[in-house]
Amino acid sequence: MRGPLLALLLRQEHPIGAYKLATLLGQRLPAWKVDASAVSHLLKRLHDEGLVSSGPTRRSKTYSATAKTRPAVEEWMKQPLEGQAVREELHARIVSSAPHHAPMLITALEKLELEAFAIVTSDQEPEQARGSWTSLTIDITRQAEDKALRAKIDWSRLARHRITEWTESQRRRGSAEPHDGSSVA
Amino acid sequence: MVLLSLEHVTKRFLAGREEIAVIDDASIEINEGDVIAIHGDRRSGKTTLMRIAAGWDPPDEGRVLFEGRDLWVLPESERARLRRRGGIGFVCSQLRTSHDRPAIHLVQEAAMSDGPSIRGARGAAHRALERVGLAAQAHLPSSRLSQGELIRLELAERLVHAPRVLLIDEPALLRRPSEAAEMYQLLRELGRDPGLALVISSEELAPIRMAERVFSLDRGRLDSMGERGGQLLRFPDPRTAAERS
Repeated sequence: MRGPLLALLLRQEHPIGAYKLATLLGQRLPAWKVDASAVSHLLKRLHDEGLVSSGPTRRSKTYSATAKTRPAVEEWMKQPLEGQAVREELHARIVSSAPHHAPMLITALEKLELEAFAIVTSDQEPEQARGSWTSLTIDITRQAEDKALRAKIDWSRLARHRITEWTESQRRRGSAEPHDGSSVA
Repeated sequence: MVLLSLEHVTKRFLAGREEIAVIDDASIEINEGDVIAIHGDRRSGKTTLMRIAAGWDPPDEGRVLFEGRDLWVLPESERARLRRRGGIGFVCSQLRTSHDRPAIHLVQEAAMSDGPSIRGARGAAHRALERVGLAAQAHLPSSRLSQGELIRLELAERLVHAPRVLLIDEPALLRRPSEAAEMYQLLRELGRDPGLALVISSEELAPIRMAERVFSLDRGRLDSMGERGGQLLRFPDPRTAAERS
């Protein structure tokens, strides 16, 4: 949650409260089931590290980005994607990204797709008697895995195409990057 | 030994006012005994690619070579001959047989185009039907066959010509899941024939499990994804890399 939270903070034009930040984060990453108290605790830790600044208002504490926030976000975007929750982490990076991150997002999406293929190619067909219960259950389990992998491949391709198309359309229009993520959420 | 190769093949179609490359600079070499899976989703260009590889449609650019001979330099009669004995077989959902005749007759008729006697053709037809697991249904009219059995029948119609390359487009998008599993089992068995190169295009991942080489077709772009037991190769695509820099 650290990376997306910092990226989100970077986009705010004005200081923002923990609850509002948690709401915005939850809208961007619904699958994460963002909890306001967890956000609040994380903000305190980030404050101790100098990655966010806080200031009291009349009602509650608000947070802003510091000079260290942007480099921390860029560093997070560059980190290799590893572990079980690669796709979820990639979702977080995409939703937290700016146009200049497009090449690295495409690379990460390609890697995700390639890894999905690697799982299938490394899978050995077990020799089971046709028509047996064991072969049926293995087959059903494989189908479940295949459906999940296909969803991953399809999404990866779709995301790559959409990012590429957007980048090309911007290039055709001859515009500079319209914004680099500093707009209000 | 390379049997069939596509060299920088491009195929374009008109989509409204725009011309789009359905196949975009695709290259692939198919060797004797290969088992190749081409994975692509719907509208990725799989059927177009397979039709071009089978010599059914000409490419707009590039070449299709069978044993080093350019298919589209050969006369039509020679191309047709290659679709028969010892050449390229193509099984495609769009070509499924509609003749309501006994399976054995349809396969026998296909065999006869190679020139054997009626008796010889009947024997070959029986062997082909047996090979695809359709011997018991040999005398059933095709209208009585299930979706999976019709694909088996079509496979028998191609196998009776003893092709050296068999191209199969979407073999197992079947209503009954058990039929799909059986179809893959049959394809796995066919893939063990060292004299037959098998190319299966599908949106399913199952053919990848039986393939030695895997390709991905995405919006007309054909990329090698690597080999079984080897390192996966794909990415960065040279063009994509250039665009990124």
